[in-house]
Amino acid sequence: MKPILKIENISKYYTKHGTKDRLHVLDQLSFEINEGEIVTLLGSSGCGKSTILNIIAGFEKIEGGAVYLKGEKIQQPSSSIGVVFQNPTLFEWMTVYENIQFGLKYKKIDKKTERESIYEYINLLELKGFENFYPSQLSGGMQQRVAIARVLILSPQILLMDEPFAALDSFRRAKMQLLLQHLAIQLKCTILFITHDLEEAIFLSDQIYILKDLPTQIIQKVNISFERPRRYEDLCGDLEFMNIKSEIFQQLRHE
Amino acid sequence: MIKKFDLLGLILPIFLVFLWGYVTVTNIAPSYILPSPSKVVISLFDFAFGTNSSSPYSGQMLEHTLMSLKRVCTGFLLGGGLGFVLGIASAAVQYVNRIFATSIHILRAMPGIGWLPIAMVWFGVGEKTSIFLIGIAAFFPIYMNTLQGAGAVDPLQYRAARMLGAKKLQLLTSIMIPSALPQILVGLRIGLSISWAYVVLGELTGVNKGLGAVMMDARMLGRLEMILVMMVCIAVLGRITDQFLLLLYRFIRPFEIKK
Repeated sequence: MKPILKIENISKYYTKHGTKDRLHVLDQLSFEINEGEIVTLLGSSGCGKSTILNIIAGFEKIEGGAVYLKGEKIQQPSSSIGVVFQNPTLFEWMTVYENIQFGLKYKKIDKKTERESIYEYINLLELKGFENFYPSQLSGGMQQRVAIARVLILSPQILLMDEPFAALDSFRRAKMQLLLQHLAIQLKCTILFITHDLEEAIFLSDQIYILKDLPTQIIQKVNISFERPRRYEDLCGDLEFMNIKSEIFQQLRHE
Repeated sequence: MIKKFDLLGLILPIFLVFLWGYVTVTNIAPSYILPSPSKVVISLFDFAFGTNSSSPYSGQMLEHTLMSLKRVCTGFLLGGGLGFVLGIASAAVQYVNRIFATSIHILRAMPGIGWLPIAMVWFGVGEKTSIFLIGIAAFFPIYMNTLQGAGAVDPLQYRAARMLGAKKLQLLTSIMIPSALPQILVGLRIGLSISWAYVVLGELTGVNKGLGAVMMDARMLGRLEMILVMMVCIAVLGRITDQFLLLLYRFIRPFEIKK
């Protein structure tokens, strides 16, 4: 498999206010993501995971290094890099339909194809019947599904997800993880997923990068090779699943 | 939006009207100080429908109302429009804000009424002066609220829009303005209500037509009841135009009532 995203020696620091002291958040960090894989960055809160994601998305500038998407340097945000934020960040004054339509307006598509495509994603994300609702009328999980739909409809080359299910209760989270897995298989997405939830990382990922903070470094890369689609109830009691969990946990504790 | 009507709130106004009737009937307040409620009501009907042809104001409501409404709308659109555009431009481009903010705050220190004499010198007595005053009055609250609302948009909203493919100007029209709309509405409503205050001021200074002009005319002729009728008309018109703004807003933003 070939890498679709290459992160090469990226460095990022913040200057402490009023001093010349630099706080190195990232120091020469490099890693790659292969096409079609779900890769997770796993680390405790505040270890710079979101900073990495914001840099890849083109939201934040870096002091050194570069990020390449299919060989092209990323300079600014674009619809080929989809982002799902921790909060749904929907446009409150638009209906579900209009939110999903938002990015399509900037592409030249005829009205009929656009409409069909929107309904396809409304169905995929199980939002049927809610297309004329406003975000404030939906539950958190549904809002997040709208946020996923509006991004996936643009067929991004890579989907970045920043702890997207952290605000959901465990039952809804499990449902969303399953749904995401099905979408990834069906749409052949490449996903960079950020989480501090160990089980979520093992359940979703093909690769897990375990991070340590200040400056953020990858301390271990873990391959997860369970067959897809994975079912939560199967994995929960699986001996290998529990072994991986225990290993990663020990690794994190030593840091 | 439709609040449950509180009967308790009616007691005071009903009492006040009775008190008003009482002091006029018993001549505690003579009619050259305070006309009776019935006289005001009859004059109001005459002003609206022309039931008493001997009065010089008979049936003239529509004409004067339209005149005042026209001035309010013109001034409000000019001043408010400028306030809106400058507010958005200031929120979007830091340089615009830095260039204009200080000057606008200095100008704002001058109460709107203070512009009257110089406006009369510049524009003469009448139409243009009224519109200028209304424009000044509408400008400030609309500028301030637009700037505040547009400046307070969550930066994540812009990130979301950019990652979905929106570019600079599109961020303005598709994120900034709609996000700021509730705050802009606050500015519009304040601006509109001050516009009604200033149309009276403008018309008091010598125009032939308009509710404020009738007010001044009635004062000179000693027709006190007509002054009160004008006050009622202006209050009602102010209320109607305010409700019209709200209705327009609800048409653009239906979800805020659906909630």
